[in-house]
Amino acid sequence: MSELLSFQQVCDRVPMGIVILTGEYRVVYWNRWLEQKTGVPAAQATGKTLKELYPDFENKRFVWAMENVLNNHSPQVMSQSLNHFLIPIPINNRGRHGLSLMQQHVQIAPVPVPQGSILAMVSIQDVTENVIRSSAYTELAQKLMEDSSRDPLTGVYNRRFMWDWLLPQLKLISRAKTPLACLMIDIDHFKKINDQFGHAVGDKVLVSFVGVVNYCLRESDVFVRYGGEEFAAFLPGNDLKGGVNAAERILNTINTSCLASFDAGRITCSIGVSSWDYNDPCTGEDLLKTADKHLYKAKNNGRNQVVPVIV
Amino acid sequence: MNLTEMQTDALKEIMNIGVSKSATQLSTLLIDEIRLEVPEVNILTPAEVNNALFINNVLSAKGEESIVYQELTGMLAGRAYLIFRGEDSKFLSQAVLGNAFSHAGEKLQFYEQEAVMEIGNIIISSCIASIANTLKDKITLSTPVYTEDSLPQILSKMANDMVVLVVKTALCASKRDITGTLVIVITSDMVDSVISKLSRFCDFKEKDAP
Amino acid sequence: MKKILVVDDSATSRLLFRMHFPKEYPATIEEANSYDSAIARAGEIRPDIIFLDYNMPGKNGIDVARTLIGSGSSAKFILFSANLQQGVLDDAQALGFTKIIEKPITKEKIVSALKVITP
Repeated sequence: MSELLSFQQVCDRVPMGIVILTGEYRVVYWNRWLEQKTGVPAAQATGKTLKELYPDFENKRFVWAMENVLNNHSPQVMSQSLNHFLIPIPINNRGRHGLSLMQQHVQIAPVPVPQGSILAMVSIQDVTENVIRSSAYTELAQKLMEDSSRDPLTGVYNRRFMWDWLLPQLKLISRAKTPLACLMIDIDHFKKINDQFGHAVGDKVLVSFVGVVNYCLRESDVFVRYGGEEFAAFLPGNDLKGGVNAAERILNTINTSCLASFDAGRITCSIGVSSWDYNDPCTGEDLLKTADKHLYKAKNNGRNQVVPVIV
Repeated sequence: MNLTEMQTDALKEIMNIGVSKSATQLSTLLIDEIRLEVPEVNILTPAEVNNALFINNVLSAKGEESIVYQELTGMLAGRAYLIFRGEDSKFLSQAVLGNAFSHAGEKLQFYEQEAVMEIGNIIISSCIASIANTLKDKITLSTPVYTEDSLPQILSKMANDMVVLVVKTALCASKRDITGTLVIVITSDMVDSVISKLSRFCDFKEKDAP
Repeated sequence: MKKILVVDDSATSRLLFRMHFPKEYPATIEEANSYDSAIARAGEIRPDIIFLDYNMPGKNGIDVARTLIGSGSSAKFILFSANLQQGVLDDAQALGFTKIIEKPITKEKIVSALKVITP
């Protein structure tokens, strides 16, 4: 039976786009699916390059892939994730998902023909629905993840997130050979504030304290509510000296800021600093332990200070 | 299976050209700077490969890697595997797709797999083309396949007469390390023919140099 | 007679360079296989033209040029590499490289580079 089927009969019934190009990038075949989706009839497409059909067609990746197909007979994949689409095909329903062009998964295969020449068969799969579905899924997953990784009162990261972040981060920086500073920050006499003014005021102090510290940190730093009135901050790219400098900046800013309804200077904090160094690596637990030890020392030395002191 | 120093050097340079060309392409595709290491090249038996890859930290302890492979026919008949080291494939897709995907679960999502497949396809085709073009022969590739599997298990299922050409190189996209290791599995008689082609290539060079 | 220094960690690549170098071009060719040996050799022979590989263990070809230019070398620099990322091209152009050649090396490519230097 199969010998009764023509190439065209089959290709015109395949639910995907098939275009065959010559070594000069000219269309020799344009299947029915493409006619329907693009509105360009085969008769019009034949003999033209994609650039002639779509004047904005400028695609270095496609040219490289085609060279590999034509010169090395090596099939190439152009993923939707990295390329989005090859042929611009407008789609409806933009409001629902924000996409205006069909998302495509593209494969290019060499097709040897008699006389030793070679053609490139470009197959185009419509993956728009997959993209919409997976981006909705990712958004949802992201939202859930965000919620369960943040402290509901202050909005900064919680301990659960900290461990999820810290371990891969240590692996990353041990390969990149960059340092990481860790700050343990504790609000001085917080229990007294709570006892004297009530928890509502205590909460306000926490929220404004977080606001001030966040202002002192960079976007790449990770700020965590470690528990109660204790916070941890991780400063990628900073060694111990950088960490201590940042800690002093935080301490001074807290000292000169009004927190909740308190005058500047009423609320202070103590900070212990440690650092992860490529030449002397340690575990995440040890990094936090050292910072905590320094924090304890700062408390014992009279609070409102940073330990260690670097001159 | 031993290569002479000159043959090793030639093979290294062939792979270096292949990997560098793919880096040029990846850099355009990912809009990122790709840093390269000079590749290391070895011809090993399947058993030796597992050891070598463990020592080199290519294989993860959890025993599953992100692998892209393509079938080879022609001058080299066998399979070319590109192994992305354990978590590195995650870093890779993060580098590519942005942080939105960083906590989206243990397994790679479909679109991440798709991106990894394209990247693997670029590296494998560049390296294979460099071998074929330098040694003036033909190697045909199948379309790429993405799989999450254990390389030691794949290799343990291989016949005893197979040998493995291992090309270890690291491609680092900006601040994220991606270690891709190319493992080409071929029959030993194929290796003989590659070595003889390489030695002809090396002889030819030495004769013609002034 | 031009003095040429070829810097490449690959012996194959250096050999290919010699093999494809046009015999009629009046030049002596010296070799170095690393950043350190390139700096040392350049100091000794004061080359007119330096062909640099990009991807070498440790420091790359651009680093070699940067150091030599910093120490007052007046040599013409030519990069030969298969790694033609925009960043690499930008670095080479910023340092005033005369020509960038895509590997693999062929006779035509060497000739075209030499033409830029001595038209």
